[in-house]
Amino acid sequence: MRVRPLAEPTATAVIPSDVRTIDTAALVGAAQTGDRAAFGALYERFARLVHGVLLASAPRDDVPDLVQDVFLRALRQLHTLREPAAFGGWIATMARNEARMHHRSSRPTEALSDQVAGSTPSPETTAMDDVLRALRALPERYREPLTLRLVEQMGGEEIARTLGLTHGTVRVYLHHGIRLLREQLGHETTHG
Amino acid sequence: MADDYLWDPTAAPDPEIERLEALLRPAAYRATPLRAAETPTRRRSIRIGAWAALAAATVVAAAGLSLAGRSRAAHLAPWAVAAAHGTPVVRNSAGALASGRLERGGVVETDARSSAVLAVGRIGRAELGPDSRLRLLDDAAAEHRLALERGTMHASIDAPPRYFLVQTASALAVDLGCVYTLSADERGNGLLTVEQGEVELQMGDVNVAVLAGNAASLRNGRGPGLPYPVSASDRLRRAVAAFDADPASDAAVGQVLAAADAHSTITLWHLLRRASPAARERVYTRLASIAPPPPTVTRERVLQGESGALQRWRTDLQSSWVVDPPWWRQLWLAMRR
Repeated sequence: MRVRPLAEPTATAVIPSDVRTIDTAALVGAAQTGDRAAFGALYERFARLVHGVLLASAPRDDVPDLVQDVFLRALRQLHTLREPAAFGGWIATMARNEARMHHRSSRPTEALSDQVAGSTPSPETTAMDDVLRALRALPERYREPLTLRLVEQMGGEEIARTLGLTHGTVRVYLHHGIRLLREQLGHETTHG
Repeated sequence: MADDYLWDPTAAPDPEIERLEALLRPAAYRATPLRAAETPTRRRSIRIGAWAALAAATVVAAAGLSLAGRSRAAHLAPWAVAAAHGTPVVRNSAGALASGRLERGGVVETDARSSAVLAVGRIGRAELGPDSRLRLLDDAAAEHRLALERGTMHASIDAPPRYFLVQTASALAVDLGCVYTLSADERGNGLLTVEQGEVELQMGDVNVAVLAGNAASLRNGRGPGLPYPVSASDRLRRAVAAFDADPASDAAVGQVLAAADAHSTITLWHLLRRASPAARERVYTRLASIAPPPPTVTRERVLQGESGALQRWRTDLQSSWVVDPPWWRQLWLAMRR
């Protein structure tokens, strides 16, 4: 069994300054040896994905903190990741678990509103929260790709690559998800 | 056009999707620096009520695990094997008795009175029922591959899609992130039942999607059978079994068509792909009478077996294919992870 202990963090950056040219596996490999700069680069690269995955399930106001929690947890558990290229799928799973744990630890009413108690939201904020609520009401397999696409502005290819899904699957999920979202919003407009 | 823009944000915009994007823009990620690792990760206060709920959940979880006789498996190291009942045996790749950890090429075996729990690397667990034999083919970083040589395995996996694969003598079960039970005999006859997520059964160019709440049989020499809802009537089950045993039988196709209803479009859609060209029109007519295809999916395209048309129809159908377990079962599954 190959279990690599997490090395002590080193002060020496082993990657060049322009991390955009380095592939994810190399960054993970460097981060696993304790290179915090490499982990920082992974954070920059995948924070948007994690944010989208969390936003698909958790209240909007809590998401920025949860993003930090996910990456700190990832930093502690990075040595367990055996396929560096699968980092995207791995941290997305971690984000889902974080959202589940957050849901369990939150009051039931928290999920009903993204608005801060006592404040009067603008019509734009209300409309946004309505759409977010409709997104979260979709089946899990649709809401995540659709949130990444509509909120985080990720393209279909990027979603497929980072979540480890096929292009066909993501196309289907996006297509079906937007149809359900339209139905949901149409229903709310009619009945709400 | 809308689909192009939905897939590719650089394509010609779709006004409705643009409107949604504009509405949601304030919720998008805004770059913020990563806090230091030493920062406490929880800033939200935990109320007394939460502690009480946590304590209650812990008691329930502990009781559940204890009742199931699986407490020894709760903290297994990767590829470790624990006995749930009786005395399961672990052998190395040379066939010699080994300690309680499965190595590549090694097997876990149970007899009629024993069952075992295996930690599937770091991605989940597999419970092996009585009279079973499970071999570890590959524990590489790119995938974990097991072979269920006989018996029953209940897998609970939390990993990227297509990372966990289980080979039987008749088909390959590809995990797309889920909880499922697979049984097979030494010739590959068996059954797959999916509780959560989705499993793809593959043999050659035959490819069957089994979603949560559905099952499909495995047949020696023929691979995966038609999927059907777990809640299907006995009549539909018998009809599917007859088709799986003899896919060329016109009578078997007729039985499936007669027994299928609005809850079993997963069966009809797969039958559309598997039926002979001569039988396909009848299947199309039956499925279209239950769930009319989208306008672009014409009878001609379907009868020609055009993959794009079939997939498009599936898009409309598949939301009704998933039947998640009841809440108490979901709670139970979550507790055992």
